[in-house]
Amino acid sequence: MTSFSEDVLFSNSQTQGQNQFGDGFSVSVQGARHVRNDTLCQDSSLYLATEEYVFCGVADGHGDKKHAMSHIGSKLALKVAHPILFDALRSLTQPISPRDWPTIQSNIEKRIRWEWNCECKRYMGEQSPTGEWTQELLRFGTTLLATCHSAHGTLFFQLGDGDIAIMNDAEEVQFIFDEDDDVTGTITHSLCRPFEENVSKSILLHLPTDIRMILLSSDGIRDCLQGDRNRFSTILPWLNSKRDDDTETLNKWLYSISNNGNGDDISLSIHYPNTHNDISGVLPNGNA
Amino acid sequence: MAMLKIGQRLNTREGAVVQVERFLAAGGQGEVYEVTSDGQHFALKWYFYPTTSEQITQMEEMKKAFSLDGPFSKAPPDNRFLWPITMVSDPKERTFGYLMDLLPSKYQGLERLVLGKMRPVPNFHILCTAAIQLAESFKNLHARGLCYKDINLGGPFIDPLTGDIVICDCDNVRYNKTPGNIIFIFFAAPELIRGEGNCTSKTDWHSLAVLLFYMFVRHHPLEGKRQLQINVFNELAQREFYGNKPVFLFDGTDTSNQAVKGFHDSAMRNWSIYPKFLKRMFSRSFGIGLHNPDERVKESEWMASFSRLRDSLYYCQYCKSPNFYDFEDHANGNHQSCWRCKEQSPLPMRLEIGDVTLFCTHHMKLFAHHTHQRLNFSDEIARMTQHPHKPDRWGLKNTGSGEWVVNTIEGKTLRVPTGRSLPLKHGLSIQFGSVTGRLLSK
Repeated sequence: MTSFSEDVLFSNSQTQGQNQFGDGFSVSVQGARHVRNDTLCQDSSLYLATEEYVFCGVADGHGDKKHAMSHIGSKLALKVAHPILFDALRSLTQPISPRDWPTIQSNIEKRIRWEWNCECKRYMGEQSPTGEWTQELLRFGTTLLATCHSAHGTLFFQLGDGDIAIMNDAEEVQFIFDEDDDVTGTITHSLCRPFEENVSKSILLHLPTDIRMILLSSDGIRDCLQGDRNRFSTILPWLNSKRDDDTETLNKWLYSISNNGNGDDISLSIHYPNTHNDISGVLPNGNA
Repeated sequence: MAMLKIGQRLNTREGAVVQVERFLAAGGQGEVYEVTSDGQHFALKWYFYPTTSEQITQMEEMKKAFSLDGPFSKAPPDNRFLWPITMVSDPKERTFGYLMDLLPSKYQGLERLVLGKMRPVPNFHILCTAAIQLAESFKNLHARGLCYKDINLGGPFIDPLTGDIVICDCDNVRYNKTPGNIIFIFFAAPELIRGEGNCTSKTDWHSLAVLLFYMFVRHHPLEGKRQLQINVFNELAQREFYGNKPVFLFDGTDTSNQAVKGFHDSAMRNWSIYPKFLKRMFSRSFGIGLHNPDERVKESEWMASFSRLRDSLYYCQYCKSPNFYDFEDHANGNHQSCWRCKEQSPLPMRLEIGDVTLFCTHHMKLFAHHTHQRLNFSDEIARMTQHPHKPDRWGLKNTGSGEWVVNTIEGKTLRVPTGRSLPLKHGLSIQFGSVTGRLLSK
């Protein structure tokens, strides 16, 4: 079971957990530039292991003046995402036709946006908010990368920059989603903007049993590595090799990457699937 | 792996030889190949081998449709249907196929339109033309006692330059009330989703309304706020929202499924640009029409409505955006502003014929529908034309068969024979056979 208190869950630090599906953790590290400027870490991350599922997520609050509440927005994104992804995953027990998948996919994003809008409005003091978009939501702007893993399979969701990668026994690294070709430079898709069709990406997979590691990373790591996505092919094996080290080592490493790079906040969420609990065959369902 | 080999020879039911030339596409029911027969090129749809008892039943039913008393034994009810020509047999009798004409490459599927991927982007004039043609095609199909059963975005194709249409996937066409419903939940009539009755022209009416709504609003008419409040939009939820308790996105009284800012912005913007008469048609389709099939909008009503919409199209003189003029507002003394730049643009000259009003824009055409034969969009009476030497001057060209008699405000009488043009001038009264039109600029 997850070892966190509500307090820890929504702080910008670390969560970890373990259940029959495996174990893992999430960590958000204040970027070196933010330490120097004494500005808050805008990222949030969450690793949640319940009796029925594992949830991993990272959310990168945009952090500029226009998005002054993004450190809250990123926490709320993770808060609303895990029940929605789990419900979606639980319902996807029947084979889905390629015709139906876009509808389900689109609805997952709409649901997350609706609930996130509601939560942000609650934070602003509204008693019974609806999910209707308002201008004030821009202040909470954040990305969201999340995965939910259960006996039904693994559901991945990404809205905005960042990377989701998996690694197998042979230390081969694969990315779950291709890089965005419609977003360049400093612009990223965000929860704070009105819904547009086909902005988020999601996929339901039945992962091969040789998958040793699932990693979700905010764009902080990649930006500090000059945007080179290929570096993940060495990062994942290295992180796997440090699996038993204390968390302080990882935090220091992340901080040094930030310090040597652009100084951005960095968030990681890692799940190590339990190889003894083979779930293959439960869900004959993969919708690329 | 393709089911048929290139070069493979098959026989039609009548014994003609068909040779497979190339693979074209695969769908949910089978594969489509380009074939030749007697020097002519055709498309061959070849069904997948049935594996379940349900699929075997479906295949038997399909074969029955090709029998001598089936719907495909006669000529198509309208040439815009890519109608099955004849059956093609499988030597091993595991499946079968049918021949149809090849779809010309200039046509593009409506899915591309709705996804915003159709190029060139068809303008509103062309979209209205396509809508009229769609409604007319289904009207002709229904007049023969047939129903299409599976109207959805995958069937119709349009030429984005002209608005001409072709309707594919006709193999599910059956006589009204033939058992064996096809339920594509987003387009199916609510009673079919609830398991009440069989497909008829009235269930097609609902699907046609959804299709037209998609074309003009680019959204599903029943997909609103309710969907945002449930985590899982699975089949159960879809049955509830589209079958058991359907509520229109723009329902005037029931706001439980209303459009929500931040989620349905495009739909709201698109909806707002149409005149009230068109909104009433959709409101009827997705209001009382959801629960009472007899109240659904019929094809002829759609034809008249999209003709009226096409006639009300004008372009803002400030930002050049297309606008639809709401003549009901005009009658109430309100002058409309452009939906995009919010300016009140001067309006083009208009032609009033009885209760019909057409703006004299560059693509305006007058059909027999406007003068003496309702819903006749085949016989053209007039079209706008540029002066051969002064392209900024426009006139109304007589493209019909009869001479026009024109009276000016000053009391002069002119005659405009076929092929000649009449310069546009306020106050001209034009006699089109038995009806009179007036050109007005004020």
